[in-house]
Amino acid sequence: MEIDPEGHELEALAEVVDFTGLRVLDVGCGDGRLIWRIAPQAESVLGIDVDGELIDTAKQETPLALRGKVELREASVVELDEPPASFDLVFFTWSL
Amino acid sequence: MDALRNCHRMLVDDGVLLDLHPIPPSMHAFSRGRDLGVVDERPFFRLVRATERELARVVAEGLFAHETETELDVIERFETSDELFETVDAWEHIHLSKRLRGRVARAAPPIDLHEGLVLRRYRRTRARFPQPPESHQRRVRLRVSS
Repeated sequence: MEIDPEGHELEALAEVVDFTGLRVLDVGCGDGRLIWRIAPQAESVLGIDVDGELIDTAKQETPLALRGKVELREASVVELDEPPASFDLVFFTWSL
Repeated sequence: MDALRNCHRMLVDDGVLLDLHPIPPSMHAFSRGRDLGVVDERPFFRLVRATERELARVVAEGLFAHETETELDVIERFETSDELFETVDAWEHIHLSKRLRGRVARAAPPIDLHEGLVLRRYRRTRARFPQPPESHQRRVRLRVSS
């Protein structure tokens, strides 16, 4: 399966935000497909999803080069208890 | 605490909230440019509308400011019909009709799903939770005895 082969999604993202150096929370990260695209620029990414199977898949598919800056958790954003001002950007992704 | 208020708490001042989600009309399946039919996303769009109302509420409350909005078309490409069925069947609130399922099964791969998305950027504003005036604040002294 290939998502967004024409790159429209990435183009739109690049137009609205520069992820360089940002601490990102990806809410509903699923199998991590968008994390792999934004993590190279970000300082760190915490990806959460309530679906534990998808999180397991994302953990298995995390590229080696990103393992130092990407954390994945089965969690709900309602209950996430990170300290105040932990993130520069929160990304709600519930597409596809 | 609800999801958006918790996001507000965890974001730095002037932090960014990005919201990317599908928008009506429902996605269509295509094979080599031929429209095979529409995927039933009506239950899903009810959830979308509920979430959009929540976003509008926190903007009205002054927790976030709406800055930009971009609509985009995204394609999800499946190399086989079985791959599409497996993926869509795992999605909640989204349904393939029998008729569409049959058309997809008979169609030449790859099968594309064309979907409309909206990407909105919001800026976190400083908290504006109503605070009672100092003179009206109630102080409670707790006595602890051992």
